[in-house]
Amino acid sequence: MKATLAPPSSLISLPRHKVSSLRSPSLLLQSQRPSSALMTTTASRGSVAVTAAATSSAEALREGIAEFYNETSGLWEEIWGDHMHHGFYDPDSSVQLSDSGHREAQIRMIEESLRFAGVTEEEKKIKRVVDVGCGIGGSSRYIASKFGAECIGITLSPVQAKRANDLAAAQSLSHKVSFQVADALDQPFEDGIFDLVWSMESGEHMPDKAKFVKELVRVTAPGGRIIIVTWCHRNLSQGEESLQPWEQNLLDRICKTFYLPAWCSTSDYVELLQSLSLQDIKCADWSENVAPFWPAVIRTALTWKGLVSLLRSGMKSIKGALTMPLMIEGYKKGVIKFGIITCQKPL
Amino acid sequence: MRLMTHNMLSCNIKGVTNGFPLKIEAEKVIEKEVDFNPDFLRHMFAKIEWKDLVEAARSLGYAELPEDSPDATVIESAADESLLKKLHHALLELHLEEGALVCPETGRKFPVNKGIPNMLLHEDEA
Repeated sequence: MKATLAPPSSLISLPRHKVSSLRSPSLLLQSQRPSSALMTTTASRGSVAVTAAATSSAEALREGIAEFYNETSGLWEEIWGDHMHHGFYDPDSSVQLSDSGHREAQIRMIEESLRFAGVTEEEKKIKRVVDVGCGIGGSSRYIASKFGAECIGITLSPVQAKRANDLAAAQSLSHKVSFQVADALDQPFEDGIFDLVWSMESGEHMPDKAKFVKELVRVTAPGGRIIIVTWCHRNLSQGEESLQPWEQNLLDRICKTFYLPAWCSTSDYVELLQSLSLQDIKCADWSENVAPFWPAVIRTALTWKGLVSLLRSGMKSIKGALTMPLMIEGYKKGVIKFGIITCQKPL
Repeated sequence: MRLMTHNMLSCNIKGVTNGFPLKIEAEKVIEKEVDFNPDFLRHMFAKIEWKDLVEAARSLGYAELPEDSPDATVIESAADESLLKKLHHALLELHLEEGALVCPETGRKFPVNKGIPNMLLHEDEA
């Protein structure tokens, strides 16, 4: 079935570029990883084979991500609450928001994402939802309540899964939501069981974007929708094979502390979805709508409570906090984009 | 882990074609009271794999569910809620706290600790 790109008003025009950089194994290997992992560049560009060392560095990344969130989730929740994603703000809003204003912006992010995907008009059809990279379950609990649906969340972090389940119990949502430790690249579900597949700021952790998208599509029911909200790098221009060295350097420094593999662009995701024959593919650049977020996070880190909590939380948290200005720099210089990509699986 | 979740989990090891349903090895089962919500149960009923639920409930020591799946009309009718209450109990109130989920094809065990299944695959399984 031919995939169609339906342009809503906010769709940016995507420059066409021939090289789909994320399909090449060299992209898998060029990212920064935790120092304990081995790096190898033996796989040649264009070859499909992945070396044993590359496989173990995927394992190391997985462990690194789990440990990172095991260590930092509690701190985040203490200061920011149970939504571990950007807030959605009106562009150029100069009003400095209170804490509750940012909380509301995080809820708004969920609502705007659902709206963008066209999900809000189909409430009765949504019975089962999967939250891929669920954190401590903020989105899951919100969406389950909103649609009266069952939501299952997966995370690499046992600490997050436990906290997410505890919060669900405390909010009397245990009958609707549950959380387990599982890998987004190998989801423990049969094909086609979810009416809504939700990935809110987890895509950036996936070392194999093609496999990640394939899994998302596999578990989506016919007629179901996929919503991916993720950090990307800017789209490459025609003829550009990769980012500029200074841009790559900036991202590499961020990758190290946040346990991120190589970045891709929004149009890379669109291409992948097109290749899997998804329909009604839409995307947008919401970078302007998230601009107040990182400055706000830094402000909370610099409060007395923030500093004390950081020091108590450990090195990963501290390093993470020190990396936050790089995120602001990345957005300001147009290297980092906050992207949303949504689509529907054909019936 | 409650059985509503178990009813959706499957073994995704490379090459496995028959990874559902996962057998249950129960070491510690607890019961947690959950508010009865018949509308939610009716909403979800169509998606439940009945026979698998019955067997899973038996693994956790609950044998009150009828073997055969009730007709949708029985579930929809407001009159008799006793069946819905049994469904409610099996689906939502029984929790596997400690134990394992076993792949029916390979026998691979996925541990369940503190109520949380760990479905991560090893390197050679992915």
